[in-house]
This record gives sequence, C-alpha cells and structure tokens, in this order.
Amino acid sequence: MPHLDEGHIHAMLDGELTAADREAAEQHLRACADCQQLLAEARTLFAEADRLVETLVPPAASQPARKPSTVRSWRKNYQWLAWAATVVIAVGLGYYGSALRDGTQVAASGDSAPKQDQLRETAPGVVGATPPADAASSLEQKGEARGAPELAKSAPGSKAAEAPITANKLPLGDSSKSGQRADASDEPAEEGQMLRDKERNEKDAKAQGEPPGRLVEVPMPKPKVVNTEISAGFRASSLEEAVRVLGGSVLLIDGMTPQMVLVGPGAAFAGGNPAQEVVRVVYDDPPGRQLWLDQQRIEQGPEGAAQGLRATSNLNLLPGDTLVTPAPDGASSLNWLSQTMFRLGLRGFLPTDSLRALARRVR
Amino acid sequence: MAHTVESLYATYHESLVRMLYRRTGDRDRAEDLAQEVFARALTTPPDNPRPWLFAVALNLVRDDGRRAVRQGRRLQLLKAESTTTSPGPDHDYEKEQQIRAVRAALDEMNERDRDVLLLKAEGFNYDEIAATTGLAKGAIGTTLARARRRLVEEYRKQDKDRYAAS
Repeated sequence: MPHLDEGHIHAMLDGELTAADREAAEQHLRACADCQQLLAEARTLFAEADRLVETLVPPAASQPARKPSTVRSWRKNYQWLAWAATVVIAVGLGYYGSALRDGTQVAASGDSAPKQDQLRETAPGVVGATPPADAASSLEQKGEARGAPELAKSAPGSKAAEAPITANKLPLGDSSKSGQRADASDEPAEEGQMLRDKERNEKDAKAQGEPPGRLVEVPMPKPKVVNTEISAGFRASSLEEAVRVLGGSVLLIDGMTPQMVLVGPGAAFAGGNPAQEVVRVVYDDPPGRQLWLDQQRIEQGPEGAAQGLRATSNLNLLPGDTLVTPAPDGASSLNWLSQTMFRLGLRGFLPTDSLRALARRVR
Repeated sequence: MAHTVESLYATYHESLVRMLYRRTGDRDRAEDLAQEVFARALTTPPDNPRPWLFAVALNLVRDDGRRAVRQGRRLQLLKAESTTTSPGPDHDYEKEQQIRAVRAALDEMNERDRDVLLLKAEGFNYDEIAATTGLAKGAIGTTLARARRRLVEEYRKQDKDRYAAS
C-alpha cells in the first residue's frame, strides 16, 4: 500500500474509513515510520483544532431567550425573586413584631393598640406575642404552610396577598424566633411553597392576557389541526375583490404561496377596526394547518395618523409596534402596524420568532 | 419524510445558532439568521433537514455578509462585538484573548475550509458535510485536514503576535 496522505489519516481519525480501508491503513502504519509520524501530527492537530473551536461558545442572548419553552425558566427566575422578597419581608415583620412586644412601638406611638389588633387580625403569626390562646393553638395545629393562605385571604390586595409566598416564612408564636425562622428552610414551609407555586403556575398557564413583560414567552404551539375550511363569517374572495376592499394592493408573505383569499367582518380581526372589512390571506404550513395574514388599510382620522389609529383600533398600536398574543387554541398571533399604514395580523401554530421572521417578509 | 417546523426547531435550533455564532461572531445575528432559516423551512419543508438547514444557514451568512459589506454594517458589528467581549472586572482576560485569537484564526481561513470545520464541530459525518457543502465525500478528509492545520497554525501565529505585543 502506498503512503497514507493527510486526508486519509484524518478520515481514519474521524472514523470515516470502511473496515477494509481502516485495516489496510493500520497494516501500513505498523510498517511505516513516516506515516506513524504523520498520524501523530494529525492527532495533535485534530485535538488542538477541536479544542479551539470549542472555545467559541455563544454568550447568553442579549434579550429573553427565544425558545418557546422559556415559561419555565421565567418562573424559575421569578421564584428566586419571590424567595428573596420572602426573606426581606419576613425579617422586617419579625423585627416589627419584636419591637411591638418590647413596647418600643407603644412608646413611640399612641395609636399602636389598634395597629396591634389590625396586625393580629391580618397576620396573627407575626405579632404572635399575645395571641388568644385558642387562636395560637389553632395556628400551631395548622402549621406555617397553612397560615399563608389565611394571611393572604385576610388581607386581600395587600402585599402579602399579592405575594403569598412570603407568608411561608412568617413566624408563629414567639416573634423572637422570627429571624431564625425566616432563614430556616423547614420542610412544611417548602411543601406549602411548592403547592402555591404550582397553583400560581397553573393560573398563569390559563391566563388569557399576558402582561407586557411576557409577550415573547408564548407557549410552544400545539400540533393541532384547525380551520381547514373557510373561517366563520368569511367569504372566499378573488384578489381583485380583496384589492377593492383594501383600497389598494394586498400584502403577501414573500416566498410563500397563498392558498386562498377571504374577506370577512373586521370584528374577526383581533386588534382590527370592527367597522371595516378585513382581508385574510390564508397559507398552509407543512403539517396542513392554516396561517392567516389579516390586513386592513388604516383610514386616517382628521387628527392625523396616530390619532386615527387609536380611535379605530382595539389595540393601541403605533406604526412599528408589534404585539404577540397567544390564542386559546394554541396558536400565536402577531399584530403590527406597517409603515405603509396597514393594520396587520399574522396568526398560526408557529413559534413566535418564526412569526416575526415571516412578518419581516410581508410586503 | 415531512418534519414539522416545531420538531426541527426543537432538534436543531441550538446547534444551528452555535454554528452561526462561530461563523459570524455575533450572537444576535446568529439568532436572526436561525429564525430566517426556520421560516424558510416553513416555505420549503426539507426532506433531509439537517444538511438542508445548515446549507441554508451558510448561504444566508454569505448573503448577509455581502449585504453587510455593502451597507457598511460590518463596522457596527465589529463595534458591537468589541463591546460585548470587553473584559469586566472579574473577567478571565486570558480566556477572552484566546477567543479573539481563535476568531481571528477562523477569519483567516477560506470559506469552504471554515464551513467544513464548523459543520464537523456540530457532529456532521462526511456524508452530511458533503450534502451540505456540495463537496465530494472523498474530498472531505483532505479539506478537514487542511482546515485543522490552518486553524491551529493561524491561532499559534495570533498567539505569538499577542505575546510579542505584550
């Protein structure tokens, strides 16, 4: 066998030679010092090159992660924030309760008695120095984890109610232990915490309206086939009719072939002007689900474009704004206003970032 | 076999972004390009997704690079990269310098060698590299050998220059 060339040796190191080729190469190597030398050099190069490439690791994204599964990580971050808030509030309440017991608060303020009553009523475990005997025993039986919902319930709208997680750490009985209790991670409190977190997460998942900070955290679209027919209230339309309805050219997704064009009531277009018909261009995605590109031309009001928009749109969007909303059936919607004064909506069973990428191709 | 965009995304997004980041040096640009790749997969569902996705990604990088040169965006990118990679108070300065040297070494390589090397780093076998780049399978070993040698030699040169300068 002739000498091995460098490509042959690298293919061998990459495990790309056939068994016969490998056997022949190894047989040659056993008898050829030059090729052994070449193999040793190739091994060094191979390892060094791999090591160098591996040093290039993408840094954390400069914006919230775009993977659709970020809901969990967001919750995880929020949980840490809640734990931090727990410690701060528990220590603060413990200190306050301790001050009340020592009488310093009484001396400092003449109306402290009503405050004590109020506190005992809303958070019996916090004041705790002089709780009624029955109340104290009741609380002892219930344990800390059960005390939390009671606290939240007794003070609706309060910080404690908004963040029931904090109530886990509220000390019961002797307030002098508050600092220790706040720092301790005893098991019942953690179980209560987990239960409440679970409930809150389930509520979050069911929530229809997402707060602004969570707009990009749309759940992964479920592979679900819907709307294989003409949408309710819509009628099949020709491009010519759509152009007439819009009063101008119909916008399309560049590079995609529309399956049909529909015209329907404006009320069917989330964020659209209900008084104006909407043109819906329907595309099919690979699994056979529909992707809708809804559009209305914006009729400017006498006060100018922006005023006109706010007056006619359900959503307070301005040109350049985009709004992502999850639909109840698992789809996602992206609404935006184009600079060419179109009110647009893209709805489909796609990750939000894919919708955004498609939106950039609408022209 | 048809693949849903969701399954392609779940399977290849991370690898695609990593390869694009190594190729461009810009995380956000890599993310944007990856999104464009998946949007194109929606338009043209690929039968052999991995080579297809990465081939589209590499084409987009080339097109985007040409456009960037035309628009003078490269300067902004370089500026952005230098901002994001400037060492903080507790940053590993040596590591940072090493990354710069590796990136400079990659930039010195020709496009084909660099693409083949980065695809191999993502676990592609020779068949997949051939399908992605259009090279003959028999040429992949030689190309990889040359790419690895070039990377290491350029890196050592960069490293030597760095120490000479300091």
